[in-house]
Amino acid sequence: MSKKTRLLLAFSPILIFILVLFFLWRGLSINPEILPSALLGKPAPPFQLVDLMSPAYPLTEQNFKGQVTLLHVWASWCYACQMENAMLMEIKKNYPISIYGIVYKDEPQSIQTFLHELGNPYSRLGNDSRGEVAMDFGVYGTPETFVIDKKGTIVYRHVGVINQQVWETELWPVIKQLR
Amino acid sequence: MLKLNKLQTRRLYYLLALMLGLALAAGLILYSLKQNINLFFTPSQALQANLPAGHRFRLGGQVKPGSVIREKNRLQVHFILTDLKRELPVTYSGILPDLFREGNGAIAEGSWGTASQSKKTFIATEILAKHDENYMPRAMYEELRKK
Amino acid sequence: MLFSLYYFGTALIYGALGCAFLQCLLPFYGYFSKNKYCLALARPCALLQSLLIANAFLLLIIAFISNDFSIAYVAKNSHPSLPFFYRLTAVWGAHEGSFLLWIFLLNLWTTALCFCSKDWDQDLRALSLALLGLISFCFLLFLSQTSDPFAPIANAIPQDLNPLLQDPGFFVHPPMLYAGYVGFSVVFAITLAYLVKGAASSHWAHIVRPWVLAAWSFLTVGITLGSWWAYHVLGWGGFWFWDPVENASLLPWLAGAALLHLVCVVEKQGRFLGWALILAILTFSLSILGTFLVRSGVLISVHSFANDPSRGAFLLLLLAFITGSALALYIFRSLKTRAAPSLFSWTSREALLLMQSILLFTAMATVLLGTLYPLIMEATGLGTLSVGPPYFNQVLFPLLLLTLLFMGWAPFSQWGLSGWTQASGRSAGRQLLLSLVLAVALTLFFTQQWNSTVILKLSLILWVLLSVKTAFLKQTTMALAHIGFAVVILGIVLSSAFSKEREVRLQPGETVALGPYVFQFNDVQGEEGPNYRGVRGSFTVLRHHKKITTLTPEKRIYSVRSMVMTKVDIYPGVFHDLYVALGEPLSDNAWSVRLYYKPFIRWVWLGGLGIALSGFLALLRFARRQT
Repeated sequence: MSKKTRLLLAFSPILIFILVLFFLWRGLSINPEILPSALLGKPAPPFQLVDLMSPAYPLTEQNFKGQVTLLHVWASWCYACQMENAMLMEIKKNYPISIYGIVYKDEPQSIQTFLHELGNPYSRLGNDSRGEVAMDFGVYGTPETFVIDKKGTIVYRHVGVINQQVWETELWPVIKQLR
Repeated sequence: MLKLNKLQTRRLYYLLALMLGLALAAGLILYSLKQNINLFFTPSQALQANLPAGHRFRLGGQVKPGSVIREKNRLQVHFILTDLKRELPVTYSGILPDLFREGNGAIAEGSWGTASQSKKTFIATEILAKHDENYMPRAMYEELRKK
Repeated sequence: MLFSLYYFGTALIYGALGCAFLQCLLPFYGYFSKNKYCLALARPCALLQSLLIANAFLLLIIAFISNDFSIAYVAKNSHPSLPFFYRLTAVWGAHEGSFLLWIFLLNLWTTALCFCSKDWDQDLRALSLALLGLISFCFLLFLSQTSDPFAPIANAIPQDLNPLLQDPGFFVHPPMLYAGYVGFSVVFAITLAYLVKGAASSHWAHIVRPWVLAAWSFLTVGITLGSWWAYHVLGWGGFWFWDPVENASLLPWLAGAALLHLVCVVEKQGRFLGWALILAILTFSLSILGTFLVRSGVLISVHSFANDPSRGAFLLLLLAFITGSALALYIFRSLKTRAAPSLFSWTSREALLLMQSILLFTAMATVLLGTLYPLIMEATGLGTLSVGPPYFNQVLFPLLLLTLLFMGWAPFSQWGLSGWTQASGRSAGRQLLLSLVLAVALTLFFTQQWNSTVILKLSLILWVLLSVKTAFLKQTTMALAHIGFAVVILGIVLSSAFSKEREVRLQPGETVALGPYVFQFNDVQGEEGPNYRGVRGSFTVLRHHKKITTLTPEKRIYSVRSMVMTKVDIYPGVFHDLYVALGEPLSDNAWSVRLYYKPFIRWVWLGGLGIALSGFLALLRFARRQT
């Protein structure tokens, strides 16, 4: 064997290893939890929904102004939403933030039962029975959560369940900064 | 000198045999990979991709609430998978996994049915649901993320 | 709370971190500055670290037993209603705890090394311990920074252990599997110590062989138990799914097997040293890779564990650091030394062992490729896809045939140039022919069908089993391991070729036939468990109108996580299993029911345990030779 092939042979394990590392690293950076939203940094899209808490006053994007809001998109048929409701109750009890909800493609009846059984963390609750508003927000599925600042701009988006860790490491730091 | 040359030619043969074996193995591996890859689509993508009937792929989405219908006297199940943009009817014959639930994510493996062109149905031979309370299959996240 | 376990646990972990740091630093300093005292300090540091970690582990167990829900990890994986036994398994039921287990086992191995290396060269011993200290330091850093098992939580709601893990099999499977994974760290450390010293030789093989054997045997037990667990918990009647998590455990097993074969040659003749060194490095790297794949969630798997990209990044960094530096060191050493060419016969035992290790390595590479292929395609933007089990079956099939062929040949081979005599060739030929005839006869007799792939596989298995008897007295453990492997393959071949399954809709009182067996669905009754409620079906199994057994599969709902679980019921047997799983309730009291007839399925696990047993027997012999 010539010197060149010997060298190549000697270095081949590390070359292959680096290649594998590269793909693993790329795999890591494809992180499903961070879905970049086209809406980040933009004002919330205009909408108007019947508020199930107070049917006389519709919920619109104007209601976000003046305070920091946690906007939670969910549905009573969504298993994960049932799981995380307790966490939202916890947040409502212990943190100074108003939680607004948008119910995605759901029946008022089952929403009422859900909230009656598991507790109601929402101060306002829009009923998006046809799923159009969720579509405007670019929601992929339930549950999904947005942080909206005092000016009504979407600042942060979380896809999936909110648990203690997500709340403490992602959402609450963002909200704390805005306040 | 002659002896060394003999050794060298022998080595050459071994090397050639080894390379032939490697090439054969690589060919076999690539062939099998090509045969056994299942593409993953969301309902919108699947409708766009327009694959022929019988071509196997995986369809991932959320099981539309209220869409699961069981046939009487048979193990046939019909439901709708949705990515919240398009919806696709799926037919499956068999027992659904424990974590298959309305509103949950599921992946169906199978192909287009041949029945009619106007209303496409996905015939699933296998339903996968993760052993996790995640609300959506991960592959779907990724597909959706790209848009 | 002032006396929270959190403070104790954290103190223990940071104490161990300090010990690991010293265990790594002092011997290296001692080696390069020729300071004997620093070298000698490696052992006390290692032992102290082990003591601290053992206590931390014990503390976590106590936290689970005493239901201390002020600790986040306990709250997430336990519940007051969780039975005592499963509270113990919950210790390693999720990420943080299983990492503590990982480190605990690493320390057990380190302790073992401390006690088994009395007559080693002092440099070698201290450097090995230092490298183990380095590994331990990295992982302790990882544990304390990203996944502290003792992290406190206020007012947590206990969430119960994942019902899938509430199974007796889970009590032994992870410790065994991890013992295997982690055991290769000792092999790795010794190898690297030799490379640092720049004196790798056949002596390396002599020292490292029992450790390879021990780690590999534990890994074998772990994989076997994992497969058994999947069979009776997942409810699909399968024992191997080619799932990324399963592949992650198979990769180091294959690499370890390749190393095991090669190390014999290196020990005996000093040949193929470079290749063996690479395999030694690779095996442990694959263990870390496996941990990375399982813990980071880069691959889609049915066994999904908590996915956390930051953890993944740390593990990847660790993999890059550990493997990268080891490979660099190897290259640095290998460029300097050049092996003297020596005569080599391609029919000798060493050639056979080399071939076997190449085959095992190739198998590992194909499994690795299949596992990482979705990732590669995604990273290069070529689409999201998955690689199906047929890929693995197709690619591994020819490799398996070759492996079996060589395995059967092994007992006829001799070391050195006189490897192949005409007499042994003739007797080997006779055996091969005999096994072929036997395979044809058996297949035709039992199935009345000509199934050429089954006949081909069966004849090669019989060839291994028949030929090994000549070597039984001289190389008992090798023979046992090969028999075990042949039995595993026999189980796989027969169970996949002759399994029967049916999915049916059954109403109480109805019957269904599966082969010669008739299953009668009696009724469904409610039941109440400690942390679940559910229904239990009752099936009477008849054969030729004679009752064999009653099977009672269950469907459970675990109340805390509101997770549905299928609990199958199995009638086990040496030659076949009968397996019933309840599907879902349909209209009119009917249920969908899944029934399986699985011939020879137990042989897969029996064979696996046989392989492991032969490894432990060989270890015993090593130990006796030492004293």
